Amino acid sequence: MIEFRNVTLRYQRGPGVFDIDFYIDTGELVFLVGPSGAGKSTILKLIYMDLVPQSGEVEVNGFLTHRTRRRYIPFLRRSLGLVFQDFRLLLDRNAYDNVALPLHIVGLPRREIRERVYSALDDVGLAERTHHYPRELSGGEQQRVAIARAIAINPTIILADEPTGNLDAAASLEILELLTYLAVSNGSTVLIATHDYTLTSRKKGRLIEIDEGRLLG
Amino acid sequence: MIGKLWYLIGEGIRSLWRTRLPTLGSTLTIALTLVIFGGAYIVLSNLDRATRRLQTQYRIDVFFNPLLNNQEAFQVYQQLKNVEGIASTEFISKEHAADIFKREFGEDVTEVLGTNPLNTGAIVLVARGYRTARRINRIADEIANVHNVDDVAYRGELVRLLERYLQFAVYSGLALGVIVLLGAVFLVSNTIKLSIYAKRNMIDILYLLGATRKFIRFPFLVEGALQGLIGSVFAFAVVVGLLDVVNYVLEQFVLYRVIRPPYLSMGLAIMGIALGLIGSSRGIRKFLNPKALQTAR
Repeated sequence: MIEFRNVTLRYQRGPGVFDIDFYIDTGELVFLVGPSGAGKSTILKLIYMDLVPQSGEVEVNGFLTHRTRRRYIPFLRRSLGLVFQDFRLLLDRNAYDNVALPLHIVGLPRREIRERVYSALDDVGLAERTHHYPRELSGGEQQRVAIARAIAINPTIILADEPTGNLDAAASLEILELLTYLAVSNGSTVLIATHDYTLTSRKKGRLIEIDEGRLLG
Repeated sequence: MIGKLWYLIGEGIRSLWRTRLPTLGSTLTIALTLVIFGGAYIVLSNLDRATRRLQTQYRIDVFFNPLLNNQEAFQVYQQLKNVEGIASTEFISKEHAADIFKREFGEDVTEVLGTNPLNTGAIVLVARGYRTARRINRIADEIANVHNVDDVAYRGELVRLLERYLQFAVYSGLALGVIVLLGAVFLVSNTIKLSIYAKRNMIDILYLLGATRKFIRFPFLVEGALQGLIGSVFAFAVVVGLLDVVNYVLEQFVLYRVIRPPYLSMGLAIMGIALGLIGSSRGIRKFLNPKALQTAR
């Protein structure tokens, strides 16, 4: 569950987001749509508490921004699966190690880590590429590894920030299919931030539109 | 929990190889620092050894009243043992004094003079904790005040001089050591900071995936400690090599060998590990403060 209550955040060097107010229920698929610079990434950063609003309140899985101490933020993030436009993979580790990373952070036993990593890589269709390094994978494959890393911890919420931004049309569609399929099968809430309106028409999900830091409609 | 610990230790070890070039830089910086410290340690401990070998400076020669016979003199001698700060004493009878005279001057004093005029006396060695000019003076005064002690002789001026030079060496060594240590910590932490800078992307990703500060910091500390340990091995090899060269050169001119002080390897290892740990914990500090969270708090 994600809730924004009259959230405002102004950047020192320019605008931010203003009076944001919305609610996303468990298991929902939501597209956060708007042009570049509209404030989509800021909304996502507020959700995973990389940013803290100057006014208003964000609530994510029971964590409230102004009541959550900094040292507890990692525990919120462990319930989220994050996917980024630039994949954010560790380039000196293979697919297996990248997917295993959040599981080591949680401190799961080695055997369970192995099972979950293979299962997640299998789910994204990369069972054969387990020991490949990011530089040996295509952009679409790297994004699949990132998705596998996100789903391996069984997150309650998946946040994807322009997940298809660096991919061609075919790969974009594949990634979208994958994200929505995995979300539905796991019962996770999925929030996809994108500037690509055509992408949103491919899947049935709620639209939240944003422009110049304000929600539209 | 133990699995996590092993993973983090493993991460620290693997990280040495993953970023081998910056790692080599900071390891060599630590090694260089340790070579300086190792050299200073060798110089100071050899200096200490050399002064300790000059034990005669801590000897007090006591001369008893010449009118005393051996038996009376021995009673006076027994009183000397009660003086505080004495390591050992040796009684010198009239006959023993004549033997010493003969050994040193080659003449039998009794034969030459027809009688033995030499004083009975004692040789007193000052205990280690009392080997300062002021304490030796006090002991000598106390001995001189014992009834029937005629005279005391010791190298007071030499002790004072040696003490002054040693004090100067120790204080200047300490001052230099503190300066070098501060410089070393600064240099090592900056070199390590550079190698951590290369991993800031990884730190960002770990934060995003829910890693705590401890989880992020631990492998860096392991890495720092290992760099320190490896640096100390390098330093030990260099110091021992240099020591061999110095001794080889010394052998050509004098009969003196610079000794390798005990615990040199252990001292270097402990210091290397400490430097690595301090360096990495200082180096990582900057990267453990996510700028974003400062926005509204």
